[in-house]
Amino acid sequence: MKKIAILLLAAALLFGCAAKDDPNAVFVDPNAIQGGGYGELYFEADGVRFGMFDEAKPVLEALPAYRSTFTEESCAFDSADVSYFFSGYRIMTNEIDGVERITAIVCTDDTVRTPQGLYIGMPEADAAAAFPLLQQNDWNLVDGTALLSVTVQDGSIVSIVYSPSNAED
Amino acid sequence: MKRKLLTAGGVLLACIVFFGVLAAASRLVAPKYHDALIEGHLTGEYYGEPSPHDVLFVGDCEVFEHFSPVVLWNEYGITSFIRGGAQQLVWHSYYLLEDALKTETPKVVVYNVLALKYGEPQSEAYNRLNLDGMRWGTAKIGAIRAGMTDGEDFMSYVFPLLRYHDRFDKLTQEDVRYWFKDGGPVSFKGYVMHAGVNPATEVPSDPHETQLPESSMAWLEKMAALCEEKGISLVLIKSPSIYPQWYPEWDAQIEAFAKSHGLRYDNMIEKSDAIGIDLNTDTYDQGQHLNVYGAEKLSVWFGRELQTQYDLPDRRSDAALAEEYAKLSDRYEAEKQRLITEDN
Repeated sequence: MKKIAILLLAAALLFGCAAKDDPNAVFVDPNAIQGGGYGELYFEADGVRFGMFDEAKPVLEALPAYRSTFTEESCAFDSADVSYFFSGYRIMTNEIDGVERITAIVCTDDTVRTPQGLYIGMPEADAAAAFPLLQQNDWNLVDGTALLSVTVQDGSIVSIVYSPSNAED
Repeated sequence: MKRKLLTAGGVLLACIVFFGVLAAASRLVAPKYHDALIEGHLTGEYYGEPSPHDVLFVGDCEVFEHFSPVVLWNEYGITSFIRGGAQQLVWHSYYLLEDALKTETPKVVVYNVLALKYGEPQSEAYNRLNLDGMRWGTAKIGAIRAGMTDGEDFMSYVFPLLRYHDRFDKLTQEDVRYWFKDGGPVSFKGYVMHAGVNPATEVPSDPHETQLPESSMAWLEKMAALCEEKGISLVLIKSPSIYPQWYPEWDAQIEAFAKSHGLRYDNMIEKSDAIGIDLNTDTYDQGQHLNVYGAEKLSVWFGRELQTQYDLPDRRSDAALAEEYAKLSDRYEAEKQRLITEDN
């Protein structure tokens, strides 16, 4: 009987040691769920300054009315990315701990210039001269909770995206 | 001697009890995917099929929500099944196809190409949805090995208790209800029905690579070779949903692949008008997936194309099949009415 108990205990320990996180759980860095931690990597439009993990509601209320919204559904899980389309850019939000927060800002055409001075269509040489660190870091910059990713194709910038610096690919 | 026998018997009994408890506990904590996260139930439903199929669909949500085997039967007498799953990536599709071809040889395999945009494993959660219900064999082993994300381990697929033991305190009535029995199919030969209407509007355009990953194209190559080896016609499709985006560069790449392999490729986004798809009424989530009205239109169009090009037989005169599909049609219509009532 003692042997059986030891066997069962060993099995329990084995399974306990092999514990892993729930695959359905959404990855959230507890240090990153408050807004304002993006340092210099903020976005600004119509006099409203905002960035990663800022609460979406006051930002959306302060900005002019968005053109349309799109809710990207997950194929099976209850996690939705919501996009708000504005002229020249798009804000994406997710609900984190019951609060809708900004989780991406995407420039969509050449009518907007980021506070850092970047714009779609900007010549690669100009961007490299103005932001040598950006070019040296494979066109990515991190500041606190924010990651600025720039895509350069055929000698000019074709996309500018702000996303969480801790986001999983 | 007697004492030794008694000891051996005791050890044997202990082992039986131990592994019995282990197996029962394993079944209890493993997700049932019947009342919630039903996409995880789809893979296993294939094994309950009573008859072979002329057409097998493989791919992601753009097959299991976009094609209705009931319509293919009712309109053309085509027998079909959808081996599709949520974020079913190309290696999943390859091995699910390989698994199916061990027991049947359809005339046509239809593969939806959207998932080719992923060249690397994406998510353990989706791996589980697609693979937990797969029967054990070389195909499942290959699928697990090909798709594991960082941190996953093979043994947790062999012994689900290793993975799901932390669900002990999260068990639901569903877990108990389906502990030792399956609750029956949640799909209609792999088709998952939605009847809501949420019109398409503007969709995001994201930064993307100009070419589909080499790794996913290599799996497509393997799939083409597997079909060729079995004498099966492989048809490539891009379902007519508008998000996630299917970019022109990718389309050209698949067009070239199809041409070089002598395969048919239908970009159904471009053919939406001819098919009759109206994304004001035929989608339940702004153009990402079709609802049942869209799926039925698409199935009527595609069934005609398949029957014409691949000379598929009309099997409606087969009494056994007619009976099987009549029962399925009844269940299908009842579910459609239920969903329509629910949505209103």
